Amino acid sequence: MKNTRKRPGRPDVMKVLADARPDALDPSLLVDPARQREDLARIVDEAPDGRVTRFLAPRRRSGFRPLGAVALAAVAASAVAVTTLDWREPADRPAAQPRSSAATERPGAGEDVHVDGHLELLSAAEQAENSPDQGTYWQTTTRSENVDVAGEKGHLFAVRSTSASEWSVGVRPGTGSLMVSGLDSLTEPRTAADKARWRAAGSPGTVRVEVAKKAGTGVIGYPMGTGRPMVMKTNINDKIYAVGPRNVSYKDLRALPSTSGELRRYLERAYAADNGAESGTSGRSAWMLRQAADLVTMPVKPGVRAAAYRVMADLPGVRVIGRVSDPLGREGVGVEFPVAYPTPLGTTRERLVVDPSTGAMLSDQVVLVKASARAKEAGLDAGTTVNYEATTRMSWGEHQITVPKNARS
Amino acid sequence: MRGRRVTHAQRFRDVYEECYPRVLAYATSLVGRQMGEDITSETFTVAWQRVGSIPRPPLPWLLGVARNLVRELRRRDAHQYLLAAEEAQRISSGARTDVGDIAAEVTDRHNALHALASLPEADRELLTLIAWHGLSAREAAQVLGCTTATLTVRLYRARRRLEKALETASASRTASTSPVEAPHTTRHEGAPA
Repeated sequence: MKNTRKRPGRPDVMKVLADARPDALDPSLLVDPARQREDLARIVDEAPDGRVTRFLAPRRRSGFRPLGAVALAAVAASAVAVTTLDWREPADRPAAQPRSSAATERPGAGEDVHVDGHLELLSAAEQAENSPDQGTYWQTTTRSENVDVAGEKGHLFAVRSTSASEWSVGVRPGTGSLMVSGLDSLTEPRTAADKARWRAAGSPGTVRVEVAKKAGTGVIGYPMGTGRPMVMKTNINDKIYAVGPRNVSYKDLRALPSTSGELRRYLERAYAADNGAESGTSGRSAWMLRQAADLVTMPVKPGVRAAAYRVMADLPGVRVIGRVSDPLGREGVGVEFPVAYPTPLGTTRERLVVDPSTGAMLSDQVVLVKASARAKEAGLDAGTTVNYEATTRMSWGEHQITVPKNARS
Repeated sequence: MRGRRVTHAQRFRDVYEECYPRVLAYATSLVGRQMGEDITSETFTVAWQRVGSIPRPPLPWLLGVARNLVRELRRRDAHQYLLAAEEAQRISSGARTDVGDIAAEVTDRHNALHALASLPEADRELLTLIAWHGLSAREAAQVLGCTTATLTVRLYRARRRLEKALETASASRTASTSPVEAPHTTRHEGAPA
């Protein structure tokens, strides 16, 4: 009834106003794509939920309090971030992997490995095939510890933070997923000598710890003593886990391929989607190892868990180091990541320990390969585990876990 | 050792891609382009820190965060805020878009912008949230932190005032032959002569 050119004063006043929006406020004309990208990269480089998590200052820490802006520049989170492993330059790129015959072979069949450790890993695969299936809540309990160096130069001391976490993932429609972390959380001087130095520094309630960031280092404050647990909802609607860059539902998980060849190709596609042009064999192996190791701890079909172990055994550059003890003293097969990473504590390497008799992933730890001067001053030498997360329980449950009354959300 | 949590990162990236332009447009309307980019960046930093609990739809919440950050800026650095707000005012009054437009459109647009500029700030904020930033009444209520019912009443009144102002603007425009007179705005800046 009216021509499209509105005259002011007509009832459609909102339309008149909308048409008058200055072009300078048109979202599609306004954006500077470079700035948008830079901001995104910078933002996700910081730990979400205000916490530092694994991989840089490796893994989750409970209860740190940021000290100003520098502190924000925390870390990547394997638990939440997408491109974990490539966020730092590898400290070494071993040209040859003496322990890994698989390095020269095409992955695929998963049978033709020559190192004992590999055979044991394949045995873990077979055992995994027998694990029980299906329930309502997939629950894991872990214990973790993180070691850091605090204090002033010349008076450095090591502190360790320990805590337990429970994670209960609801797989049936309408069930939620909860993670309670920071249970029995305690931060204290690592040894008696460290305690003496901490006392000499005036027994500070918050100690300053240097952590690695994407570029350089930052400082975060660490409250000493006990901390409160924290509860977090971890599902987004029916999406319960991440596999590479994708969030997956239980249905998606159950549909994963259970032959090693297909699973490897699935992960390779996810790698391509996650990393784009990112290259480097060891970086890719590390990424694949991370994903395969994560899959093993999810409620996938036993065949998928087995396939994941086979994929691991075949990854070029991944070092299977034979019998080792995990941080809780349990024996298993050690599997080392193909790249080492520099941290303020020195060069570190990540190691998984798998129980070949059950197919269970026992622990994930970060071991100091070469201690920095800072670390040495605080008594941390090569071989020291500076971070670990050990699984003490992984099974189906019928009821959601209870959240402690004092938990923060 | 555990499986990976759902990538909040992926969800965040989706939200970021989807909402960045509109958050930027909103922030720009408050504090201009340059400061707007900073506010947008801060807004998404806050969002990332709370990535587990970003509401759906995310936009009203994000605009609310941006609005709070601008208020914080105003408290923290009144001088910087004023400069930024002046820049925003220049943009919102359409200063940059006039030249070269077709006369009739210019007139309509000018009338509308002049009418808008003559309204109280609360009215302008509400009207532009809906007309320029594309929110529903319910979403605008979320940004402004009031109930939808309250907002509906406020919107009704603001529309009425805008209608009146538009009538006045077009009347004075048709009465006077000069199409680019200084606007009767109380704000810092209007269209250039």
